[in-house]
Amino acid sequence: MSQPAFRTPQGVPVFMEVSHTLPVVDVDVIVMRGSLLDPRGKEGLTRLTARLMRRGPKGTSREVFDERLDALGATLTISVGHESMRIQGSVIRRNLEPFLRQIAAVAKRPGLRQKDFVRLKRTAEAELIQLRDHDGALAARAFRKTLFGRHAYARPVSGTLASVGKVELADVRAQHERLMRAPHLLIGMAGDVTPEDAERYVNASFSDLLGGSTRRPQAREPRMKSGRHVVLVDKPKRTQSQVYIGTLGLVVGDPERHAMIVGNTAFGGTFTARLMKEVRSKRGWSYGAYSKLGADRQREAWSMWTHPGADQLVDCVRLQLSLYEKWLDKGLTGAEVKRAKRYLIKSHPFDLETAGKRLEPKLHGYKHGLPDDWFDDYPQRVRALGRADVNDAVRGHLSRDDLSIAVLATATPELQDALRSSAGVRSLTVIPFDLL
Amino acid sequence: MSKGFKSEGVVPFGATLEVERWRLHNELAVLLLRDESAPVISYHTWFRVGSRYEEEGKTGLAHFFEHMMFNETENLPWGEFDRKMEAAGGDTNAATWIDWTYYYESLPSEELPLAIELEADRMSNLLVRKKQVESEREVVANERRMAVEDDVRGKADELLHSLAYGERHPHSWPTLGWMKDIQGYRVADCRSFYKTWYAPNNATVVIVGDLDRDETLARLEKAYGHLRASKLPARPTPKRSRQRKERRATLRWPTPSEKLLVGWHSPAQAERDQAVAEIVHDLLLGGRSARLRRRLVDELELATRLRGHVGGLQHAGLFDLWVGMREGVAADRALAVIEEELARLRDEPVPLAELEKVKARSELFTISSVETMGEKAYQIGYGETVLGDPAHVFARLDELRAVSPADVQRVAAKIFRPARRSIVHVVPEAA
Repeated sequence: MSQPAFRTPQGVPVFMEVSHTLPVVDVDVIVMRGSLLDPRGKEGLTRLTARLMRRGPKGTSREVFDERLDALGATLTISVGHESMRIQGSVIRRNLEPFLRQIAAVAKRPGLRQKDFVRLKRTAEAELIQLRDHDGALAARAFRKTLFGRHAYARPVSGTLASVGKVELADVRAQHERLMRAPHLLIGMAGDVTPEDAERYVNASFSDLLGGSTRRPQAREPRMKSGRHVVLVDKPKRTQSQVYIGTLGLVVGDPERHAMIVGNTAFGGTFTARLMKEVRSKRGWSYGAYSKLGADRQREAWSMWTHPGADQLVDCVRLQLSLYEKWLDKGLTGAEVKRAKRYLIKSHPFDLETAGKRLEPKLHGYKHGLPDDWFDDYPQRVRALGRADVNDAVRGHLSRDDLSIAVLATATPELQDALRSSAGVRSLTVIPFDLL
Repeated sequence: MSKGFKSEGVVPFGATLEVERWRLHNELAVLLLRDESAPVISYHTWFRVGSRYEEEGKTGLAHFFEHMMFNETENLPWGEFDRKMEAAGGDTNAATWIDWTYYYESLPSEELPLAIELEADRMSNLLVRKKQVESEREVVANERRMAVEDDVRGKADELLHSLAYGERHPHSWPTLGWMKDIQGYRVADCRSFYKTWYAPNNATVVIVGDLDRDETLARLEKAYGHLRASKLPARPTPKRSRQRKERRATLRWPTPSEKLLVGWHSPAQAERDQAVAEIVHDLLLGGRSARLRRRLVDELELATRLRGHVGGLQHAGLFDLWVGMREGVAADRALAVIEEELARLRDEPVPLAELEKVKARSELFTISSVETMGEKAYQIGYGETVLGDPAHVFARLDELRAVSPADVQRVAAKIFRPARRSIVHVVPEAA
């Protein structure tokens, strides 16, 4: 597992990447707990907790806290995923020490005030309503819901209008106490700071954290419904549609991950990949056409995304399905595998271009307990793969027949009939866009 | 040293780097910045042509051509450009705006010769035939559907620019072009556009990264030296928009809440007042403690989204504000607050502490905007193309640092005149 530059007296690992190129420092505080801890029916709790924390520490109003950060020349965001929360900021070098004090204060002793909570809830609810303007986000939400079913990964990190409405301030306070404990934390610093200064500043700011267990909660393994299932998000007057098609992907640390990356790159990861070539370059049906391989502590999604014009929607979905089947049935050619490998190996220097980029794999590796050489040996691991390794890995991990298909479009009867009669489709559900 | 190139001096780029200016005999401008911090390079080609050089009826042609440039050339079959780039581990794309079009490649350093070869080739050898035009037409139409036809912000933006500039002004039409124009491009239009604007005397090549100067110049001369300069048409300055009274439009849209897009005429990028306008923008919208953000989003809870943008163009542009209202809240309420805050900026000097806060943010964002090789190349290319100064990003930071409370009052009074504003009001349409 990646080794930290140092640990705080309470054992919090701190990873560093030093670069004196620019007078800026990036700071990351990762809490290795995320929205999976949201109780059923109170989805969105962890995100509300993060957002309420961002409103400032005890004894400092939100307004004063924001003024302080802006005056330091700093940015600070707190984001939440299923498996982690991330407090992330950048600051001009000369203000690093006071900035770290502010981050630590907001992490350890946030105000979590009633007045701010009431406003935040109203804001979160208003934003969920505004989501209706964003077709891509609506389709993605529908896709995850169909793919993961009752599994925790189906639950949106930002919650729903109903679930956010049920969250109380007491829930938020309890959630903060549950999350912000020394054994859950991981700190990263990248940029213009020496290890000596970093250790001094971090130890001064991140002391007296609560203790706790290192054992992380584990979601059960997701399972898909068998067959192909379509969810059609109905939105009026669409000239263009959004299409997500996918199945279960990978667990982080899967020994075949590199083979899967090569397979996905050749199928839909670049501009010359099969998917883009067939959908956009040859037919012009969609401006974008990409596939994405997700991995988390449990199997995440593999998905392909396009946004064809309304007139081309059915043809595009059918083409995507046939491309997918062909990929799994016949595999990639030797030339495709070779091209994808070459691209991944040759482009690797860009993953290491800046201090921030170099820090990222260290944090990721520690978070997921990956072996030391997982990232360092990336080019060698990719280079060693043969065509059969890649095709076998893809067939072994992706289901040919169990697929979730989420489409956002204007749901005419003709469209519904056409989607229902597409290859292997067992069910079609229509959801009005404002009920997602 | 390459004989075909003439040195045009050196420009400091921040505290430790410098940009070398070179000019080839056919007037191709080359800007080199050596940075050995990573074994990669960024290769940009900036053409001084954007949507404001188009004619009515042929709008969007500059952007359309950006797509065409990834097609086949006399030397390279269809798809080969991208295949070669990917085989080299490269990332390539392009963008078009009102004043410019640029193309970039990010590559491992040892692949610099490939970027030179392919960019020089497509500057003069592109095949512009019916097949290529037709295949890109549908892609661009789909891009427009994504960005405008089904997107409330995209649609409102188009409407605002039409209102603010009037129909004939070249800033009034969208960079993507009107759909009817996209559907109507002829092969001859495309050939003429290419022949006119894609020439060495209308381009600047920017290379940033781990490079050897003499070897790079020699390769550039070999690849570009035989290209002929084109006869560039005159580039008239767009007539200033003579707006004398407020202009308004209503857009009915399937959206859950009202929206407001307001635009005022703002200075050209080179003017010092544009630096002041950028500070004004940040006082209103930059960071969570900014005035409008605090009042509209936090205190009064009228809006969920607030975005602003100011100019950035060679000639006068727009200072615009986009407000996404909460469900059931009338946009007029936000407009009243905006008017109050603009009046405050005009009537009361900004406290020095508040001004310093905004300047600290500007410093962070300026430094962060030149972190990667690609970011440096972008800033150099943009600065050179729009302002003739490759280190503009640092010159602007100095100007921002010098802005005083009196500057803020003066520029706020100049820009935010009610008679010089245009408003698009988005109203939810029943599903």
